[in-house]
Amino acid sequence: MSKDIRSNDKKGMDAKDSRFGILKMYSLLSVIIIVAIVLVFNVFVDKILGDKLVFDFSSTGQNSISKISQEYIDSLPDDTHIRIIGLMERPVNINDTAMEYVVPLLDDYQNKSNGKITVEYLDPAKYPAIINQLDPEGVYDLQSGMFLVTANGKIQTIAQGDCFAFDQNYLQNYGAYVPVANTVESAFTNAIVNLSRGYSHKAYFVTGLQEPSHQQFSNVLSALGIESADLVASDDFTVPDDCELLIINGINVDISTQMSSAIQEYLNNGGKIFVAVNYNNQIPESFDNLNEALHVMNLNIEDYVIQENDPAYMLDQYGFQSNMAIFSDFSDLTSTNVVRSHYTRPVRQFDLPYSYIITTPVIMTSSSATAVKINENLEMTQYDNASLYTAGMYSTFDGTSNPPEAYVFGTTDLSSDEYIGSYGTNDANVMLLRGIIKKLLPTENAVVVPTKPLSNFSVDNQKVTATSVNVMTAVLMVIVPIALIAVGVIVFAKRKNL
Amino acid sequence: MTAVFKREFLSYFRSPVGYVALALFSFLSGFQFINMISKGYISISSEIVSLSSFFIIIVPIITMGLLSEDKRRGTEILFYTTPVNLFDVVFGKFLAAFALFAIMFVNVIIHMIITLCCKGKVDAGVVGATLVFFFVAALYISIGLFASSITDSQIVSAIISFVILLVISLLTTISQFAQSGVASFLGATFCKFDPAKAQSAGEKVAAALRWFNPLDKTQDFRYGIFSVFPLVFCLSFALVFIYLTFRKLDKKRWSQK
Repeated sequence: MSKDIRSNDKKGMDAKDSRFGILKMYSLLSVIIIVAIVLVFNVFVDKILGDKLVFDFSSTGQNSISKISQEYIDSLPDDTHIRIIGLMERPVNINDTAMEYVVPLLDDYQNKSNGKITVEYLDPAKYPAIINQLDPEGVYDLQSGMFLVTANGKIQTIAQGDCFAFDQNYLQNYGAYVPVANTVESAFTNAIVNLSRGYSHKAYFVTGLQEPSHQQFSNVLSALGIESADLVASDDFTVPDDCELLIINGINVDISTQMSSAIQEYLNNGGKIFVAVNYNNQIPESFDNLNEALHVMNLNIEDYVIQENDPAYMLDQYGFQSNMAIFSDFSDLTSTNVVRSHYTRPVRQFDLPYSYIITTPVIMTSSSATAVKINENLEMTQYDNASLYTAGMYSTFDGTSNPPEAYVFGTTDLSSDEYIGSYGTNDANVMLLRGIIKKLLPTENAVVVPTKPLSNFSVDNQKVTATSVNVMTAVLMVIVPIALIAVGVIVFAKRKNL
Repeated sequence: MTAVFKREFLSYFRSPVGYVALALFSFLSGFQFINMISKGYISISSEIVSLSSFFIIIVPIITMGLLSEDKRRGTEILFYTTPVNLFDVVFGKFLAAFALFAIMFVNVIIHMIITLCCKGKVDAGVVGATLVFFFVAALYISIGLFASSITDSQIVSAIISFVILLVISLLTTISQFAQSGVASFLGATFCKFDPAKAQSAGEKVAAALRWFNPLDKTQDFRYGIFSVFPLVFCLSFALVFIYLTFRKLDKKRWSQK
């Protein structure tokens, strides 16, 4: 009997062991199958649907290419192959670095181009031959950390600094670069457009006259298909033959007599010029030689500053920042009929009696503005009575086959990096600048990508005072955590004996 | 499941664990917030993303006792002897820990209100970062829950989940080491005459390792860029770990001799 029971127990144990083995196998298999299914499913979602299921809800679409870029890329032939190359390891930890605005956007170019654009990261430290391969003649001075766009055997380089507009005031006062706007898409789309379509025109910036940088103005030109280069002020200054537009922007020192002669010759031969200077009380420069050149076009820049007195135009209490009305001939160039301006010089018609020189105002003050001069001690002396002042003028010759053209402004609030960087390329002033450039150098189907302002997380400083920060520190970091710990201790003490 | 959830959730507040976790989170989130506001700006999305990096400390504290404490007390036997679905037990405990995270998030909501009062910005990036916060929390809690199911010691459970979460957080760094390691190994052995191939293999290994890093995938949410895949990734792997936990308990049910 007991033998039978032992035998039955053994059989039961064997059956249980067998069932245990089966269940163990089932358990193991089910885990393996579930993990495999999840892995395959995730790989599928990542590779097949990953890029399609991305939605950009950021306020300015920082990480997505705009409709403008998308339409241009779509218009390119299917066999187009544009390479965007970052001469670096693909950046991985991009948070709070400039690359957080670059890397995702470049990925978006690749994803939305149907194979027309590829993005690669090639670190010259790892692939030393890459710079030689890309630029055998060393024309482009390629360096590690740079981006380049290459197509049809041509290269356009883009440095990280080209991808942002910086706070120029902060830069001048503290020497630090504080980005205020993202121009990554603008820089790369311009490069793609210019490489695939080619530049239509060439402009030269006169440099070496204590002028600030003109990177943003160059970007505006590039977006219009205009290649730009620097023309350094020197004793043997000549305007190159391929110069279609000469730009004198924000200079703080007058040009030399030799330069004045060269510019006069350039204008007499049908050249086009854009001049923008403003009034700086630190350097109240008289532009005698520049005016000498501009007299060819019957224009003159005054040595005084406009003070607006009409409250409807004034933007500050002193009247040195004000709105300027756009003359009706030019009002279709921008979105509004006024532009902002500060510390502006009057630009007047000179006294040449020739009727073939046609001068037209572009921007002007109200009829109650005055002109004053400010000395180094900020003392003002009135120069002229209340009247309407023109701060921007256009001039050309009538009845000639190749007429010269000149736009002269007593303000740099259309063309300075400080202004374009702060207000972006979709601002009314910059739109006026673009309209003027397009009139001077017509380009078909220009591709202009608006600047994207960076997210601004600043708070109201009147509410966030040192006292309120101290109160918040006390409440959020001390009182609340200690109160929670105290409750925890009380609960523990009360329940430990339960 | 509701009963398990309720019991487990209330148990956080019947012991110091819940209060300690809440206090720790309040302090850390407060520190992040004050650090920003004292400089004159507040990016709530950055704060939320930064808080996600503290999960490797907070999650083990919250999950360490979920199942190991039942094992230690012997109350685990109730799961097997009462007419309750084992999956409901696992999921109820998971939800309880997740609900505690939701309560912790009240701190961030208070910060959002202060930000709005100070005329700061609460934008789509904040919604994105909040989504990431909860999806990554779900994944990490499921890992902590699994760690809790394999031992009867809360300390061991906390250490296991801490190590797993630490490895996940360091996957990007690990992938860089793996890349150079694989490249040099292959370069010295199988690909002696083709260093580019060895390099390429190293890069593929690194990319494969990085693919498993949920934090790497979810970075763009803070800018308002929403992607479905990282959420699917977090959710599906959270379900895998919940299933592993269920299997671990289920194994014990039928392996009782």
